[in-house]
Amino acid sequence: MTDKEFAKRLKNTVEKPDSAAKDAFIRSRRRELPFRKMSMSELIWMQAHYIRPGIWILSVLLLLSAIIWFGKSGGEAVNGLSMMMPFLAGFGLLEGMRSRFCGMADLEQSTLVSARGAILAKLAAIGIVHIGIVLILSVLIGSAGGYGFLRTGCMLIVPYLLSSVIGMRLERTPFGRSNPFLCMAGAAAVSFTIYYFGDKLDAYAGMTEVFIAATVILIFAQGYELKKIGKPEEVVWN
Amino acid sequence: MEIEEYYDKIYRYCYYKVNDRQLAEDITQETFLRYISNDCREPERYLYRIARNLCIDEYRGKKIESLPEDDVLAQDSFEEALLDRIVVKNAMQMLSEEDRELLILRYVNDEPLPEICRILGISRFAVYRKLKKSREAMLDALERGKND
Repeated sequence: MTDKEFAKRLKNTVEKPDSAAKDAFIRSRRRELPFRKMSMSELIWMQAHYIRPGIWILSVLLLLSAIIWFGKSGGEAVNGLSMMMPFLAGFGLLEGMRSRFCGMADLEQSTLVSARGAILAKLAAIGIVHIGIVLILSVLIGSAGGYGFLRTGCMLIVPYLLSSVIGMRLERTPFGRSNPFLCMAGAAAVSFTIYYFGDKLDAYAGMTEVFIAATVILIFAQGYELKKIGKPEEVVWN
Repeated sequence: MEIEEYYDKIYRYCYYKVNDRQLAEDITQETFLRYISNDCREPERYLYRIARNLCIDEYRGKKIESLPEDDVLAQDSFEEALLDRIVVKNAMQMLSEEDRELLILRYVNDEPLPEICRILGISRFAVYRKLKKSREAMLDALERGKND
């Protein structure tokens, strides 16, 4: 008998404690008990483990393809990449909200971490990695491609944030609540806009200030949407 | 580690000691209350120590039955699983107090070896050696229970 089998056999003998009594006791005494609460970084790290590997693989693939693309086309790769960024945001958002379309939102709310905390932590984990990718690409392409670090960064982050904001807004609508893949429609719309109106938008390409202003506005919009979307308890009650 | 996890560990530890679900729960809660009132640190070490003392007090106060009927018969959905539980419980009762404690800490509560050293106040080598002995004793007891 292996150690694992041995432990399993012993564990099976013990019945679980009465969850209601346990919950009532912990609630009544939590403030007196000197056990530390989970920090934000621990929460993000914990939730990052629940994100499917596909999301991380997709992110790494984008980074690698961008590097290869840049090696072949130089600075022009930025325009192509800005069309891909919305999908990165869309997939990230879809993963963050997975519990809802898997019908697990109620279960997530009954755990130690609130559903709001879990969703925000998942989105934060994905967002941190994606921002890291944008920074790497900005340094790499910006310095060698002639656009400059700041403008390249803005050109990549604006479509990403725009798709994310639109996706979160769509997810809050009654139709979006029952159709979680709607956020991908927002990503596709942003990508299509860049592709179709790219020539017209080139008029603003030289204006770094415009990109910086758009980035700042979108960061605030993203903050607002995160505040709104992180209240699934209200959605359930309504 | 969170309080929920400590609660479960102390409960399992008490359950194996007293063999009664309700009593194990009462002792678990009492353990936490005493831990708070004594303003202790190092929860792993002190919680187990308090729980152990409370179980001993309970044992001295009244003779604990080796296998409470209601506890076992309440879950009779799978005959095999039930039989196995009885065999394991009986085998545990055949072991010495020290063997049982080591097995609970290591295999039921998944405590790492350094933690067991701190809880029991013995060296790592001693824990390793005793754990091996306890495991063999348990397997022997299980084998005997199976044959009976």
